[in-house]
Amino acid sequence: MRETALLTGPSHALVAVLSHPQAAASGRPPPAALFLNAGFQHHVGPHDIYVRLARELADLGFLAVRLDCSGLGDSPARTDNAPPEQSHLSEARAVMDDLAARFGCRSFVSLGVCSGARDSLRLAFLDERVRGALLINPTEHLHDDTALQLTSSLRARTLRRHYLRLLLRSSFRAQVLRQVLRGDFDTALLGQALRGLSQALPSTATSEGLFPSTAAILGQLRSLLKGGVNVQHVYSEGDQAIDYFYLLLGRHAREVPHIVVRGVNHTFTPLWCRDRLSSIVSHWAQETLAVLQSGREGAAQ
Amino acid sequence: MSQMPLAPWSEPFFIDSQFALYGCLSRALTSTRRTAVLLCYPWGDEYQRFHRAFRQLALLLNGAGFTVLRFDWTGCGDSAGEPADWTLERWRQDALTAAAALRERTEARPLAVVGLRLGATLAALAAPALPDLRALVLWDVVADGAAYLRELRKLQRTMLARAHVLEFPPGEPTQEAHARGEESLGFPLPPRLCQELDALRWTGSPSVEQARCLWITTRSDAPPPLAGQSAAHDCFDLPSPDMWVWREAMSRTVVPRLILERIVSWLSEACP
Repeated sequence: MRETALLTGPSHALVAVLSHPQAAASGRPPPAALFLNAGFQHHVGPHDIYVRLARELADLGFLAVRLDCSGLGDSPARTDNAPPEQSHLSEARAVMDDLAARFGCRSFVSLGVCSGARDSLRLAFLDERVRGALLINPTEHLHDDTALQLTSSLRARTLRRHYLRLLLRSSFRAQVLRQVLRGDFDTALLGQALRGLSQALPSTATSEGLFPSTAAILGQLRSLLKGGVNVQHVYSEGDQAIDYFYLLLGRHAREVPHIVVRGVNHTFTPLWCRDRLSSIVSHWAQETLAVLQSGREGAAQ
Repeated sequence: MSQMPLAPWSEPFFIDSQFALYGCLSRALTSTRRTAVLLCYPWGDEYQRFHRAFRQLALLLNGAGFTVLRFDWTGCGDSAGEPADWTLERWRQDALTAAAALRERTEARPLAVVGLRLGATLAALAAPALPDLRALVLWDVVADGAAYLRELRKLQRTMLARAHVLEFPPGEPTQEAHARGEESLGFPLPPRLCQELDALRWTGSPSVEQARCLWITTRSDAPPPLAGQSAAHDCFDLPSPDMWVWREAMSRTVVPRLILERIVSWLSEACP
């Protein structure tokens, strides 16, 4: 496995680590897989999971790129106060341009955990070169999360649903029950969940912030899927992100490809959880490669 | 390529070695001091939580005139290698390799080394082989490997009790599950490393005494500075038990500004 470090993106200032594929026999440029930061974590991802996945994707034929957006990991912070929700997307697109110029990459996939997943989906919405998006425990990506009142209300409702689900129908029932009996729980989160009971849910139909409404996002998602973009949600059973997904999409959830991994937490901490995630990512990557390959052949004919 | 306003940036690169080591060099912003600084990360979950703090420390040191190199240990972060390659000796060699790479990229100059937890231990173990070492900062050094290992195991039990996760895959036979081996907070604990940690008792070394040393302790189990040699050492105690509590959150990075500023002011005075 050959790995290199690169300064890329706007002003060639962002740090990325590349896992290179073996040279393709066809001589075609490889598709690139872009890993986007998970929260404040640097480009190795939670428990170094991005490193493992990137090396596995390179083995499959991707140029795998672990990127630090501005202000995260090894990359410098911006000094123009641009909102990260937007600047990270424009930076990712600039990195794609750079990868196209340096390595000839024409198609891309994006993936990430948590906020990295949310950014991956938004990148797919913005740029038609993105042909696949693997979203691992994304949350707040199906509404305009810059609309503060709506976000606050959804968080409280998500938490309420989360705790009820964990207690009533999950692999963790016994554990949660023991925690409740011991009084071993996060009182701040519980308070937030209880407050959610008394709040009316603001409309998700309009947008007051930077991003579109839920209906518009669902429409965009349908268009992507119809256009052959391989968008896959992966959720951990122990994470509240799946509650957000079901809460917001309701009956429409079945239209959106998603996998729920039993017995797993938000960051896939135990090693066996990451083995499961690795198989899911590998399957998704091979599916995407097959689609890209058939697209090329179709174009050649 | 479009331009954007940015703070000063780093130079990422791979250091040629038996295993390619990932390093990130950030250069001094002001009139350069003669001393360059090598930062030694902690291991495992602590590496993840303190990466941002190390990046901030590098920036502060750059502002004070130091050029700084951070690097990942063999088999950790972006560096090549597997858990089977993890040994204390391998990692000690990594520190020497990184120090050589730092000197090569910045021209020969005196060196200061800052290490946190196991990174501090490895820095101290490498110190006797580092020529012209001027200063050593040992931040919550792991001096008793067996106690450290006990703590790693305890943290794993805490995580399993509190996080919404199962210890083993649903439906997997227990025998197979146990065959996976030991782990702590998402990182494997290979038997060879466990044996080495179990035997680790760091009590200082004469070469370390030649350098000025700053001991930073934030934990109640911190070892006392080297007995009888405290005159050569400065100490900074800042009890911070909350810093070491396991929490599951993506935003659980730790940036203890007071400690970082103390390190910078001490190094500025120790390495004019």
